[in-house]
Amino acid sequence: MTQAVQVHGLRFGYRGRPPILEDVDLVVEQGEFLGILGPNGAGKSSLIQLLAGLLKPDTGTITIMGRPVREMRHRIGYMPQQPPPVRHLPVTVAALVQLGCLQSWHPLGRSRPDERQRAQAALTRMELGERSTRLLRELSGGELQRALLARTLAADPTILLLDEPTAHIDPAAESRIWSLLRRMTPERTVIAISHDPALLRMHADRIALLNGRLHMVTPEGMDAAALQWAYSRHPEVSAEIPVQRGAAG
Amino acid sequence: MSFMAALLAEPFLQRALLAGILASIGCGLIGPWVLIRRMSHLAGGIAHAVLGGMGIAYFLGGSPLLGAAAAAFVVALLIGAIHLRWEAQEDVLTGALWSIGMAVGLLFIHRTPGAGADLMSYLFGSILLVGRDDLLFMLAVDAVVLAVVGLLHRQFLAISLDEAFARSRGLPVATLYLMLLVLVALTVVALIRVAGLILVMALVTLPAAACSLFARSIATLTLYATALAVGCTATGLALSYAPDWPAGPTIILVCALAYALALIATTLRHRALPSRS
Repeated sequence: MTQAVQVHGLRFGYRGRPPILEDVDLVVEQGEFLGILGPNGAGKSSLIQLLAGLLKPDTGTITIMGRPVREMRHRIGYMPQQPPPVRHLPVTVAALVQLGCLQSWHPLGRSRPDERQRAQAALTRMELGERSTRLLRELSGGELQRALLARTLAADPTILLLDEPTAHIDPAAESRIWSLLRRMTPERTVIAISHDPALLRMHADRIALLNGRLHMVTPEGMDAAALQWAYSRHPEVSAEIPVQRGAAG
Repeated sequence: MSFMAALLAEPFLQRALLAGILASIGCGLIGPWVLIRRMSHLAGGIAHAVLGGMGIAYFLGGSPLLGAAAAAFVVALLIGAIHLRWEAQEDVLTGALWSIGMAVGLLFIHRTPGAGADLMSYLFGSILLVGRDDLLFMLAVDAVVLAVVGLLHRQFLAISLDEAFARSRGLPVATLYLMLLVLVALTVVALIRVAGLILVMALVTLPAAACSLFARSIATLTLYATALAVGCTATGLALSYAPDWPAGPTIILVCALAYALALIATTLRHRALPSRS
């Protein structure tokens, strides 16, 4: 298999603070579904942003399909953690998703027919095809998350970098989205953050545990000991997190 | 004499109505972006800080409108830089610029003999005193704003909705944001003659806010907001004529009434609809 993402000797910290990522080495194969798990402040979002080229490493290298990130931005689809406040806007689902086709060199003015087609295809993929003319404020929380995912898919990226794609939504909508994401592979490489070990066990091929450093486990290896390592700074939390669906008390 | 009869007879009223229409086009074009980007506080900061430029222009014997334009440009870039580099301090620093600009303006106006007489017209507007140069300036600003918004509206929407996503697509987020702020600043300066720098933000935001409750796209929001702003300025002008009220504040109160009615209509419509289970 070809390597979609290669990270070597990565170290990163925000200005004036100690590094939050140290000695991170990571290889993600094309078509793989990698889950990322770890406590708040472990560097999960920073790692995703480093892979998306939004942050620069202090030391170390990151390559996407063998090339520097800046040259491969058009192959990356990034979904930020916080859903934007869109409920007050007169923007339709289709208009939102078409924004995903924008590039730095994009021609100005109205969207082109091919962009509208790509946006509609992304919406269909996210099972929102019939809602394209709805306003964003008319969507449920789960539908809005799927619309934002469709926006990420609209430019037809090869690698999806998703920062908590199901934060703030109910378990049924969450489960549906993760199933849709699973179906993105092996056509695409998916790297997604979640705070739910059970979801990652169910859908990811491998799980990267982050706690300043990175420790890789298989879904089967995602057990109490692995969680204890990830949450070693918060032992009281790791004891309460179920590693399988239905295991919670 | 009725307003309509006076409008047909008096060139100053015709110029005032034309100024209202040109101001409304500016409001319709830029108001939606102030609303979408949630930057009415920033735009308010720009509007008030321009008094600094006007005061300095008075003191140096230059054109107050040019002084206002220069100050608006500088303050827009400063506020943009604050947002991009010191976001945590944005609220405080914008408020500080707001007050500092006014303080500088008042100080220079105080030191300039005779300038205080014009102060009220710039603070609260003087649409009935609009001249040919003012109209040309407003027309030029409308043309620039229309051209830039027409070309970059999707880019502006992308950075307004989600800066992080826009950055990941390689869009020049900082440049686009500064351009948007400069457009807001230019529009504010163009509107000062109509509503004055204290009231101008209501003219920019209220028609767009009222229409956002009904519009289904940015394009329709822009059209509706322009039409509503034209209606409000014409109505305000007409209402203020017979009792000799100041036109600027009357126009703003008509805008506020339109917004209140839109809000009530939306609330009643939502109550009439069956609730989703």
